[in-house]
Amino acid sequence: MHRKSVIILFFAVATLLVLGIVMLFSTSAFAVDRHGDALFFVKRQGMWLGIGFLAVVAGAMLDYHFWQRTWWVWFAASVVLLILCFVPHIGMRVNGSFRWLNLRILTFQPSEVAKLAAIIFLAYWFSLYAPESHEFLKGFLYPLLAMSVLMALIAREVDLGTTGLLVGVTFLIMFVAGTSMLYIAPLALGGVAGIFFIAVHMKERLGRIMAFMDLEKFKEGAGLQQWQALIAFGSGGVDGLGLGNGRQKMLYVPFAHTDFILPMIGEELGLRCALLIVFCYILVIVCGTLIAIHSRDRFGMLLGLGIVCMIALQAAVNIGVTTSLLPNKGLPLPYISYGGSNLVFCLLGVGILMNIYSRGLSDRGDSTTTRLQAKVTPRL
Amino acid sequence: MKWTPKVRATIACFGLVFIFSIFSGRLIFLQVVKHDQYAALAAEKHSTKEMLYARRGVIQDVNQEILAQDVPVRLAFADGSILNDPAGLADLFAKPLQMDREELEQELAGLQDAAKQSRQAKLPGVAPRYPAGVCDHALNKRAFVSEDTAASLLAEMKKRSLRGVFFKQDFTRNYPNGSMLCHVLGILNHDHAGVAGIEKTFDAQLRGNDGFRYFEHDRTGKELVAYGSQGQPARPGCDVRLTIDMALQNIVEKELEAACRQYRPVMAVSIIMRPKTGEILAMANRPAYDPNAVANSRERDRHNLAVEAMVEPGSVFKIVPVGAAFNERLFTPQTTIDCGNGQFKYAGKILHDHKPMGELTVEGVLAKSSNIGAARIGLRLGDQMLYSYARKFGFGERTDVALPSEVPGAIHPPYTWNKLTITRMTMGQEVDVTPLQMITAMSVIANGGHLMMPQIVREIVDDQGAVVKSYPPVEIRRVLSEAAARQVREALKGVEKKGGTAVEAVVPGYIGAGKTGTAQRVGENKKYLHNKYLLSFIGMLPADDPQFVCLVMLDCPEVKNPEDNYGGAVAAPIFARIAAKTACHMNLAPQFDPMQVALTQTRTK
Repeated sequence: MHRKSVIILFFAVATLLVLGIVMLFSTSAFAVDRHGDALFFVKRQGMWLGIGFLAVVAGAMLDYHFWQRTWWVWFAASVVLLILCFVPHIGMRVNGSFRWLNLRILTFQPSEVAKLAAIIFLAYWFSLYAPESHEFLKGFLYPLLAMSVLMALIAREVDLGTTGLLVGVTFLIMFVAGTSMLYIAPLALGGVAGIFFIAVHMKERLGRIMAFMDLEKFKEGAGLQQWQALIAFGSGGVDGLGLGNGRQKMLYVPFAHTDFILPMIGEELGLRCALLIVFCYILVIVCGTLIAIHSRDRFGMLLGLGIVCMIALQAAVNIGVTTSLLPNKGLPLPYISYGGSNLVFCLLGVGILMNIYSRGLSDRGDSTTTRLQAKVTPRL
Repeated sequence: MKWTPKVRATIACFGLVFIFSIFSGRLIFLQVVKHDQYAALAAEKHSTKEMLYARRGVIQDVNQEILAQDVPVRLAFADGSILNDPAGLADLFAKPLQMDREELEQELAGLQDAAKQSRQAKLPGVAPRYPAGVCDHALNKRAFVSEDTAASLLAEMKKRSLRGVFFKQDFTRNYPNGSMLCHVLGILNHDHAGVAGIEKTFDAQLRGNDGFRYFEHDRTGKELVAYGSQGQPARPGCDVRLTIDMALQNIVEKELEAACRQYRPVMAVSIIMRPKTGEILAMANRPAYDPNAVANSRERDRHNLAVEAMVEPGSVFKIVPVGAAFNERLFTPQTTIDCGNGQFKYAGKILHDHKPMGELTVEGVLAKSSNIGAARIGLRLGDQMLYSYARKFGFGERTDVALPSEVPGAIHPPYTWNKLTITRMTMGQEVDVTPLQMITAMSVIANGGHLMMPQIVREIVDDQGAVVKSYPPVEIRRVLSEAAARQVREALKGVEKKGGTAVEAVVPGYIGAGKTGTAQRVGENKKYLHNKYLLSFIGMLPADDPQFVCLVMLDCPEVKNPEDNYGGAVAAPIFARIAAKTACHMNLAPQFDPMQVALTQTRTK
């Protein structure tokens, strides 16, 4: 199972990528009006896919211990980049938040770098202090303080979705690394309470949550996006309306080609494809976890698991939102949604997982048989 | 079991997989269980019904020349939710929409504000996002622009990156000939319904059936052409083909216009009718208006006086007692009547002729239009017979021509008469008739005694060109015997001969017949005025086999010389000009060469 996991992982991700580009083709057709080119989004996504492919190769070629050695570089870089977001002319203000850096040629979100840096840092920390991971200071408070620097900066951008994501990934890595549940559980509960507090005190967000409670009532206002997404899913049915025949993408669902791509898939390609996507994510989770568990060392395991958690949680939040199981929170659907930085990050993650897999096979150690097998398998 | 990191990792993995299993369940619920419900909702949201207005039928003359037609136009609408620059839009659209620039800018800014407010208000529940009219606000309903103008305006908008004004398809009625034939054609109101003339009478046939169409659209309402549409196409209205011949109409209008310039009458009517079938070949009235610019016209200009005016006909009416007398064989054309010294005392009142006539034949009574002679014929006929013949000629009842607002006229039954009435009626007083009744009655004489129903519509043709309904000639009744009609015609020839009242009505080359009318107008005190006359002439050509009858009537013309203020001097020359051109147009062979006649006359002198 473990030996085939990387192949399965590869095909699962490839399936998601293909579906993503096909659906982008279908949903962004109305871009003709705005950009004068029906292929505007597809071309850009193609460019990012190219960069993402390089990221896969780089991640797979590079010994993952490189990340262990250079963890501080990434950490420091993401802090600097996150601060740069607030600097005028470099940072871009989009819809009232500072999530983007404008590099003249292209724009990207430093929070994607921060996600990777956070995972590397946590994996590094808990492999360094493996025996102390159940302690309060070294196993819980110090890493949490370090993480809170990133979280605070991202939260300050007003990107609560990514902040929440980081919190979730941090707790999951801590849980796997062995931090006592006595520390995690109260904080997790406190976090939930905090979210409610913020929600109540930020009018817009309260509106979103209220809308989530009763979508039909708020379907013309705050609940519009999710309500329209439900209609998209529902009208698609089992067989779907057929590729390109979706109606909801015609400005009924805002952000149909980015965050709300899944309802479009449900509408045009039907239940089967929607379920296929969910299944692909499950494959990514299972295969990623297998790879992580079988890694050569503790750093590799935590790194791999962190990547899996990051991808899985993002997908979970996205699907939860679009199927109206969660209040509206804009997170892209990994590998499928239009958006460059996230795609590159997620593909780099796959590359790193591949590297962890190959190291896990080759340096397993004691028996020669496994060593032999290891050399044969990748050639399959 | 030991809580190794591997075990914990597996637990985390199962946790994540569990979450995704929930999603699978949710997807199945949404896409299978709720499918019908959401599909219905989606269908309802995405498709819209659009009205397709039917093209109104065309009105044509007898040669299928277009007299009234629908022209596709664009009406401008504004959408407050997307318009971006009221000042810029006002600059661009004020002129083509014939609106004041400032006013238009204010209107657009108001729309923009209304949209903004309702957007901020975050209306709860299912309330519409924008109040009515904000996204679909008609700018100036009366100012439409042509398709080309609309296209160039839209292009200009795009160039200046303006948004918020769009155009809708509509039709406007166009009358290519302007005021010509305006009273017959009629007009439409703002709902495209006919309110006058043929437009009103045949509204149901011209209108057609509006179609509709369901189409799918995106959230801004833009149609998704690729998804197709379904519905029922509009069915254009039927075309109405008139009996009017625009060539003749043109002749009549020109002459009437010239006459109006010369005499400035209160009103003027001219009609040409084909006596054998009752077809109206031309019908013109003054005052007139331009149906393309109804708003600029006065209400009183829009009456079709040919069927709506009630006038006392004057001496033209003498054909009724004379025709009756011949038909009843009480008189022959050569019977002499004593018209005395121009004064006839009857029932305590004195009836005048315009000059002493002495002894006259019945033919002479008509030719010289002797009131006394006509009165004596009337007395011989008796009240009841005169009344019944007047009714038989079609007076006092609607002709049922296909024109709205026709009045029946008034002819009172004998029991309401006083002793004088019979002497007055024979000279065309105390009866009220319409010009159309007058020419129809004259057509009885021209048509060998048959009363034909006046026809203005020849046929109705559907949009495929098939004749839906045609209107063949209808004979209402026989009024006079063939012989009596011919005798009257012979008598009427005398009117245009030397010594007759209308020598100026002669058309060179033809022997015509006709009758003048000079009716005193009734003043406000219900007494006859001595300076206001209704002058008329009704003639036919050629007299032996009349191909057309033509009426010319002028009310209260300003005649310089009071002695010329009679029908023979004013209306007859107009008739002559119209008749000459009409004969030429109808290709009537001249009965003799006028040059020859002129030469013989000079020689004999």
